[in-house]
Amino acid sequence: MQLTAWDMPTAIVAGQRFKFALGVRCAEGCNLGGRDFSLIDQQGAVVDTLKLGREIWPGTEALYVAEVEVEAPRETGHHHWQATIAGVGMQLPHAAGAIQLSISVVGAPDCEVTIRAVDREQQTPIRNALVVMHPYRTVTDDNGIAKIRAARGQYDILVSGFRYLAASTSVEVKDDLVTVAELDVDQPWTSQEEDLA
Amino acid sequence: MSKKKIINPEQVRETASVSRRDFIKQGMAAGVGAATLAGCVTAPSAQGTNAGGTKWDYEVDVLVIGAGASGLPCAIRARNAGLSVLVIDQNFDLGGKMLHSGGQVSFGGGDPCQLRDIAGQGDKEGFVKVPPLHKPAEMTEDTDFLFKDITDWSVLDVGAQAPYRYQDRELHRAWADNCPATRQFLMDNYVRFTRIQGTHPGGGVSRARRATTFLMLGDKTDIKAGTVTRQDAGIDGKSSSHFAPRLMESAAKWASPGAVWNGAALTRGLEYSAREKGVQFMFNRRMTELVREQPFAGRVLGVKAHYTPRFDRSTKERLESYKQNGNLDERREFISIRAKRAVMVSTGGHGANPQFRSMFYPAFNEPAFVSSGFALLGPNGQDASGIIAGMRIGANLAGMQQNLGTTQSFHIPPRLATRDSYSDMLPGHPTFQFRQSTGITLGTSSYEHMIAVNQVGSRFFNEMQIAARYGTPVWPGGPRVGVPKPSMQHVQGDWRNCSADWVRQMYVGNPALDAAMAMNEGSQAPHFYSGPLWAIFDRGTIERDKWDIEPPFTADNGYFFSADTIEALVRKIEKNHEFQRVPLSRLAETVRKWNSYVDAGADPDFGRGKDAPMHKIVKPPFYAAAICPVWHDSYGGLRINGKAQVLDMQGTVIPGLYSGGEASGGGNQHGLGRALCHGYIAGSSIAKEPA
Repeated sequence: MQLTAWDMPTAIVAGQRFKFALGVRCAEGCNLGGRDFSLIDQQGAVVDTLKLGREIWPGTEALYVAEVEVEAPRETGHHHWQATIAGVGMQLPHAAGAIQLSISVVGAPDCEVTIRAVDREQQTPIRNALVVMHPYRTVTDDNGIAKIRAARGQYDILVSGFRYLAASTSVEVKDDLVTVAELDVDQPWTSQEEDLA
Repeated sequence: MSKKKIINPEQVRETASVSRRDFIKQGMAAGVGAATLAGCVTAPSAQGTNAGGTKWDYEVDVLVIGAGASGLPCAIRARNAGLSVLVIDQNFDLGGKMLHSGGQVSFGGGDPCQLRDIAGQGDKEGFVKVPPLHKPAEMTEDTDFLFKDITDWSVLDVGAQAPYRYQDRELHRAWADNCPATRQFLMDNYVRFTRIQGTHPGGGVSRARRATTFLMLGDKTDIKAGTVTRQDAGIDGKSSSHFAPRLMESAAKWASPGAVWNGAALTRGLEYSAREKGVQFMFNRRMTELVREQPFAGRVLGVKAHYTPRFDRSTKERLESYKQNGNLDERREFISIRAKRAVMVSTGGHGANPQFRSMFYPAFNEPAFVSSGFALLGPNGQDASGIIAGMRIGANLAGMQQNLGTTQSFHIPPRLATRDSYSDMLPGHPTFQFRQSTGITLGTSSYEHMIAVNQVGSRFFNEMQIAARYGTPVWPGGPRVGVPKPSMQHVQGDWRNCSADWVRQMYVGNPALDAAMAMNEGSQAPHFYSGPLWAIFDRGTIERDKWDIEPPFTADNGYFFSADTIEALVRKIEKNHEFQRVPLSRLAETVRKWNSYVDAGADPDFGRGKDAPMHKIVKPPFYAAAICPVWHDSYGGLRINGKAQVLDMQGTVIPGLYSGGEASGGGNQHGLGRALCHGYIAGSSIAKEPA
């Protein structure tokens, strides 16, 4: 059994509920619809037992997916959970499968950081720009603005946009603050444009 | 076969190709002895049949091997002098790499385009309407200045390599002196140039010298009128054509609205002129041997060549050239061709020959990586055959070290999922079937959305650097390309251009390609192949960065895979990629480790996370797209003098043998300016060869 997990939030506030997706596939493409899987916390306790969806996930060959919603640990830091699925109870014997899940738990935010992404030359807003202020991540809205509620501290902010070169800056978050990221356009290369180098 | 009589070369225009037998028969029936036909390829005379002990099948004044950037100008120039000219090419169509190039040509020394722009004038056809893009002073020079620039010992690039230091002096004196005339020659042969804009790599630091070839969009493709249809120019994201294997893009900013540019404008213009003037062509014919009077002495008499047709995979029919007037349709397996005056070796470079190219860089013994234009030129393109044939009869070589230290030769193009990674050909050209995918073209920013792994599945470098190529020291110069002072402030031959202090200040080394080609766990004796490279990404990549992964950009051709899990992806690659010789055993662990680095916000292995965001690879489906280094420019080949005559080990001219472009060595100017001028020089010299 092969497992994968995605859409895991990168900074989960302690004790709050969060969602992610878990997918499981049998190496031979067997039907896993409706099968149980378990979430195990760092101490080995079962957090929850859930069922995979009945249908193959669109765009895949034989992946069965579940949307998971659970409560985060109350202690901040990195927590290593496991998702496991048993191999028994199927027509043909299967080996069990497991995957480690990294749950990053942070304290309650103190401040709001506003990041404005703009085209450096045009000074126009860049929507859907990716903003990483580790461990926080978000994207800008239609006005090129992203807001992150974060704990106080020193952060590097990286901003990248579709067909834009990434920009970076460092900030110390003590109170609410606003910062602007000016991005340069990245030219997609054709080999003719390579000739211009 | 055509029954049309072909006696006068001018009647070759717009006729179908003929077989040799019909050609000779018609000539005889017309009452003109084949041996005395002026300007045509003929059957060998009784005197010539056994010259050198070889039984000749054809006889011509000038035999040009290779119908590319140096071959075509040579052919036209020789034909202008009234000589009979036959061009043979291993491929089914002419153009070589020129056909898929960007058509960017740097000359200088006061060439006609510079003079035109200095005077603020347009072209005679009224196509160039935008004002000049440079100030007059930025284009003002003479051939002495150009020669000094192109042989400047002091200039370094940001990798601390000296692109002009090792240029052959006699060769470049001749090149500089002939630049203005070559530009005019091209313009006289249906080639249109835009405004001067900057300078091409290797074209010199001190002045703007580059103009780009173009045509105007119109209702029909008419080289004489200077027009091309949208269909023939290619449709963005959809199709190419037999006329132009790559999309001709807008040249509005350099010429006028409706102008489109690339090497097809150059190639088809020269083709039109060559055929109009009676140059004859024999395609599907690869030269295998140069015939000399004695093994290492005497005159070059001709060549032996074998038949190398290419066939459509579906219809099984032979591929044919875009135009066919003037073609000789010879299908015998082996033939010999006598050249009474000269043979011009313009066969291109060696980038597709792993044995040859690994002389310069052993890691490129890896056959997985090909030369640019692999599909276009076929398995016999860029195969060093001309160079090897010359070596076999005693020719010397030159410039063999000039492949190194330039990003124009071997590099990693920013294009995934196609073996022919240099170019972005779309369906439409007859050779698209040999690559099957256009490839996924990336910008610099796109590399943040993937990881790159070697043949065992381990990362090997910071992905943000993989396709980064630093600029070469050309106009307008400046620190960005390793030159301390930009533009008109640059000082030729100044020691400060290469002082140690300056190097420390400007150096930007990027060994990403070297890391990619390095031996790894999967490299095994005796070859120690570095193996294929893979870009690994997921659905999240597509959602964030909108990569085009549908056909024609990808195909089921062994260079692009998708799977529900990383483990399933590994199995597909191992089963279906022709060069995956070892298990991709590390990939799952590499992805897991990468994802943990993203969680931690830092990449201790290769320093990602400081330059751009990192993204986990977790959302199915998962993808693997081949990353294919390519050998594009070839520097190093037959040694030639300022007349394009090939020299032997004693520095003596080999009578009757000429060469140019990438089959020759001694210079490393990227692209067309070098090859076109060599062809012009060779044709001019050949015209003076004794009968």
